[in-house]
Amino acid sequence: MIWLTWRQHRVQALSAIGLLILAGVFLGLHGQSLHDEYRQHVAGCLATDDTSPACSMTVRSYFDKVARAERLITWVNVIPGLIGAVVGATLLAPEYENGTWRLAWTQGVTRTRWLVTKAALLVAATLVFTGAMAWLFTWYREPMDKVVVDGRFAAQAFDTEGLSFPVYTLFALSLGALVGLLIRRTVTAIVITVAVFLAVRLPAESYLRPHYQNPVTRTGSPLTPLTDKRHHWILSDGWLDATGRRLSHDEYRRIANAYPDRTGFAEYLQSHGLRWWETYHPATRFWHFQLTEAALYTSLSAILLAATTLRLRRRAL
Amino acid sequence: MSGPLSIEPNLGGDAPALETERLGKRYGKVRALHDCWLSLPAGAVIALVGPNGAGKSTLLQLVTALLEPTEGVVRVFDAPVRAGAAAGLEQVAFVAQDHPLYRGFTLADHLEMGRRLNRRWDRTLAERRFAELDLPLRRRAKDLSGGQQAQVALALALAKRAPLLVLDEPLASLDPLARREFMSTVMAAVAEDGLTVLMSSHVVAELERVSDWLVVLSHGRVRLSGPVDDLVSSHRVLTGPRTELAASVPGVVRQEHADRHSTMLVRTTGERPEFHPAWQSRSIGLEDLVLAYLELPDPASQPPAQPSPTETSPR
Repeated sequence: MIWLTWRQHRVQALSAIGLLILAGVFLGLHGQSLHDEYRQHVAGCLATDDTSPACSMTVRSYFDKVARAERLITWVNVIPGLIGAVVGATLLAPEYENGTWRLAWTQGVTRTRWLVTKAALLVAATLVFTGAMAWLFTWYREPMDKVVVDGRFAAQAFDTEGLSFPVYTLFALSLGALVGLLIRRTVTAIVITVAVFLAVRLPAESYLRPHYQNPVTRTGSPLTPLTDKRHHWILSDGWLDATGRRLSHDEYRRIANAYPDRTGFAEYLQSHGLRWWETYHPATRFWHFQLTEAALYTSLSAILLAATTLRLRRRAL
Repeated sequence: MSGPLSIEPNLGGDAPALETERLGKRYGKVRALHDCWLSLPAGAVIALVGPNGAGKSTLLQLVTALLEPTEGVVRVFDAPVRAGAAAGLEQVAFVAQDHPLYRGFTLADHLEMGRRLNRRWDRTLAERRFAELDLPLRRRAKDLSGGQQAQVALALALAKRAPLLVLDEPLASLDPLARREFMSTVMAAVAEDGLTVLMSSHVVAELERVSDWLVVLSHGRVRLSGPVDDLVSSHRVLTGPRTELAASVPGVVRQEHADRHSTMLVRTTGERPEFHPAWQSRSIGLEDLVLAYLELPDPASQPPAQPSPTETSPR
């Protein structure tokens, strides 16, 4: 079975290794320059809150560099869905499409063992590959995360660092296997796998992830600006009036626009009794959120793989 | 999945090659196979015939554990055949309709797959077949002709060294020359190894020359099962004047009445059946016999024809 799995998936395995090497070389070189520049120039400016023109220039140009890097590595977000389609959906659908299921499952190995062995090997290989990728991203993004507002909670960081990346891929792979079994046509199975994967993954990120824990809300005077704001995951923020009521954006603009110039603006807001508020998840919750997300997608994957096995055992046609 | 296995089938004994008891398969409300009782002898070449949609493929896929029955059991050389049991799988080799192979695999890859997935595997036998067919081991399956593909699929099935070989419409997609070559390979294996072969077809003529046991299936029921020679010799067609005499003839399978005379197909029991002198008696060919049974009214209203225990082994 190990040989058969390798023989049927060796092109995919070699492509994955090739991709890993390419990403390693590219992210390694570029990441090293991001790390160096941060350590030599940017870290000092940020640590001392230096507002000299030289420091502003350094930080600004580093920001631009980080923004370009963000755009450059957006492509990694397609990897989980791609593996779900290319590896997951092609686990069973082509066997039905080409009729080879009748060849494969009339050998001396039961089809349950055939599936469990193959799925286990593919899951293991996928976790090794995505785990290596996630480790690479985590290292590459380390200096970037220090200058981005939401830090490691920023979607781009959270989705590719730590456990998220492997568990998304595991989910896509399991989903592809079940869809392939139910649909039995490779191309249709691939399309449906990607569609369902996105239909679960994207809403979960927007609507589920903020609620893994109760967010913290704090308020403060306009005269005491936030000092530890960086790297918290800010869900929402705004202004309160003297009675503690949250102001709408328009109400705040009316008050702010009535003030003629910029100097002493904080004192002006203070004199109106305004206080700021924000609701956020502290940066220290990163691993709690990662583990919650991992548990969620691992459970989903386990259910999908179990359903695939049971369904295959019960009936092949 | 382990356990004692008989490596060689019990050819001399009474153990049937294939037994089904009350076997049935439903797809939702559709009954593909119903109340199927069969006991097929070891060493026979068994033809499973019936029109398209009669349930032939369903029966063969139940025998090869590709399908789970909704009721009843299948036993091959006393090993129960279930999708979850490797012991049953090892008793049956299968060449599916259209002879599926992995398109991207070379012949060597297919042999390696067979070796890895079977406890018993006769690589030499398959390699010899490939050499006879002039097929190099590095040839990919997608580069084979239809006839070559069938031969390769057959060689892989034979290399499994299972005592029962099941062929689902093996000749349907082949040209006449490829058909003859395919069947001669099958018959050689039967002669050499005492293999039991169960093959389906919707064309009786294809199997008439090679098979010695016949199973007729229609509407998901077994209509007839027995040794070909006995079936042919025990059926007579009677024609005679249309009178009440018809009612007194025993063993009528089917009757047709014209204005003045009647035609009947009867199944006789005695060695030399005697009929009223008013009736003319003649023998019937296998193809007509099968057609007569297929044209019987829907079996839902009748008890199915069951294999009688008095039937003797073929040859």
